[in-house]
Amino acid sequence: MADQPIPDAESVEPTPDGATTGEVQASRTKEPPAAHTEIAVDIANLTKVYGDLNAVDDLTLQVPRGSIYGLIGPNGAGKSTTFAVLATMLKPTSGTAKVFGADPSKDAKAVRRMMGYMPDVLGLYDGLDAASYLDFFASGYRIPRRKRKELTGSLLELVDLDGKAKTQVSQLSRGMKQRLSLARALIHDPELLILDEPASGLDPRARIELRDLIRQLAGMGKTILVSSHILSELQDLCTDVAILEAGKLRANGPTETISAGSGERVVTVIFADGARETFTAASDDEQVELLRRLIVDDGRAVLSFRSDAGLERAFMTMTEGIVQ
Amino acid sequence: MSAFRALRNPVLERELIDQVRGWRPAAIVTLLLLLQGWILYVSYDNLQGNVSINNNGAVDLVKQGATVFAILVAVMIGWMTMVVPGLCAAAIAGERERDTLLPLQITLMGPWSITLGKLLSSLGFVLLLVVASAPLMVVAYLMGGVTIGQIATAVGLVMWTAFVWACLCLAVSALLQRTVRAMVTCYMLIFLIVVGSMVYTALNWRNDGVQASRGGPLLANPGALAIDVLGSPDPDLERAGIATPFDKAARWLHDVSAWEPTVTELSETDVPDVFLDGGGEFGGMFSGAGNVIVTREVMGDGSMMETVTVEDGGMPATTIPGSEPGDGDSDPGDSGTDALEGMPAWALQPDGTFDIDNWILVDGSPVPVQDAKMNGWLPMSWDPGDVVGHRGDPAKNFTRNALILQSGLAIISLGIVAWRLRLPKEKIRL
Repeated sequence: MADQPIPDAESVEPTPDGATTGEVQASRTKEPPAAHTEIAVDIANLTKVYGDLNAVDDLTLQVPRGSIYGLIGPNGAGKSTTFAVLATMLKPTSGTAKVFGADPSKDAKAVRRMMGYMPDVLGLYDGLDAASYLDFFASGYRIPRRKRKELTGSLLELVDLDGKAKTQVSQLSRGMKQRLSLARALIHDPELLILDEPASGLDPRARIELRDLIRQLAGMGKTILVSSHILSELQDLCTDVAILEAGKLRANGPTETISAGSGERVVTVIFADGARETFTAASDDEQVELLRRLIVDDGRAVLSFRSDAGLERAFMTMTEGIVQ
Repeated sequence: MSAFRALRNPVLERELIDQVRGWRPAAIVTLLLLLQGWILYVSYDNLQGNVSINNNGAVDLVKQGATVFAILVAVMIGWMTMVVPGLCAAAIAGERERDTLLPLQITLMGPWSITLGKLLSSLGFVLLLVVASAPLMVVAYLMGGVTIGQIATAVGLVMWTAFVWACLCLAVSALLQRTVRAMVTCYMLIFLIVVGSMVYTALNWRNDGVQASRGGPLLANPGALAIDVLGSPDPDLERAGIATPFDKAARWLHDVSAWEPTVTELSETDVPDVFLDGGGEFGGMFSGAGNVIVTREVMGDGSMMETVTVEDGGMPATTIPGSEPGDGDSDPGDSGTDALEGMPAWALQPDGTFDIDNWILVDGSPVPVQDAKMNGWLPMSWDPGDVVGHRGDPAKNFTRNALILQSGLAIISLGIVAWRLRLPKEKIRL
């Protein structure tokens, strides 16, 4: 599966200047062998300066083909700016970005053919119904009229809106609008999907549905770049992550490596008598040992526990003190 | 091919559907038709009254048909001026406001395709207005005095007006972020062009028979172009009482804004003989405050008698003997006395003669050589007897220059729109 751990990936440590160390290699059992080392998005020393603000500062990262690549960071970390460069909307100040070898700022049309972009704001024409909305963008991508009806039908089915084809966009719920927006990004069957904060403003159920949908798309062989500041969500979803802060890359690599790299975790245990105690554990094994000791050795009634570790903790560790 | 692609434009298709939805478009069409219908009704009522009193009904019919038509067209042009900014100001700023612009820009449509889609869709609604009011124009046609050619020209000018305004407003819409601001700016810009150009021209007009203004800002006004094309500045129309509002406006336009006047030498045939040799008896009669005027009277046998009169201040008008009929001048190819119409009385020398060398005809009106030189209509080195550069018909020049300027404005505006829609950019609003 696409979201399984990647056993042979190198451990990538964050470096002070934000550059990556080593090449990220991903192996996918479902992918053809040729795709193993193929790079979908290649960003090298990308910098975008607005006045005296470095929105993106010397960013270098590579997105393996077929991966679900998460860009995480607080607001203003440079995620949207990076996406805007990749989506052929923004010229970088310096550095290069390549989408399947094509430069978005020089060969925008070629990139647009291969890339679907879903902005974090929902730009929907309220007057249209869902099917007409997709049909409009299909014609914008020069898809012949005779193919459009079938295409919009199957896309609406994919995003689970087939019952809403004739519903006005303004009548759809936020989650439905989000899925319609995703369907729009998929209208020309792009190889690469760029999803800017797709889960923002969604209720938990809609969030889970969206996550399943993204997994499904990855299963179709698409490379997916997704940004979020909801870290736990990306932890479950992404094969690879990059942590950005203030325009700089703090860490990147396979999700497991980044999560594991955070070292000890904080385990909060709530007992049946209402007591709440906090322990530390250096690894998964140590955490299991801790719980075994509490329950078996000490015979205490554990009601629940929470392990504050993984990506969230990694994120906090890596960005500590730098967030303004 | 490009025209075909423009018609298969996704933006055009979507907007055409979008535009006719809701109550607003219906209201715009209905109000226009009510206004035009009311004008037609009042005119028709008026016409019937005239016919019953006047046995010269044919003239009245022609006048009514032409006048009604002129008012209908003027209303349509005015309507376009009010409606088009409303249609176009939101075209791009509105999409930006609703965050639908970026997804559109990164499709394979390209900036020109989006621009043309926006333009053609607003013109599509304008076409609907024109088609809707066609039956009313037909009534004007049936009243007479209007040719099919004139109707076609008028429709073309209405569309042209809408086109020019649409281009300007789309540019404003592309440049500004907010719909409300774009709309206010559009109306202000159009107000400036329409009213500003007229005020500027009126302020710069010296009413002394010399065209001080040369059209200037009026050239940017599609309404002025319509007046220029549809109206005739011929003063005879007004004398005959059959001038339409367009004719009257064209007369004003012609007076104030001959862009490049025709300059011709004043030949002896233009001047009544009495001014050239005789007339000694008038020497010193005129102090210079009055004008030479020409009056015409239709005689019993149908011939026209012209009388040249000099009005001089408070003095009773003096009719110059020998100036009638046909100014008493028997030169072949005599152009009559029109050339002297409006000439100041002081042009007559103390001996009552007229020094032909000191005068030149500008658009058929006598202008002192010195004034013509000051206005650049004659080279400063010009001497009597030198060849005058003939610079063509001023009316046609106005039409041509207005078309050139307005096309230029329209193309530049569309270029601004396409340039604003082009991605990637150095800076975008995310």
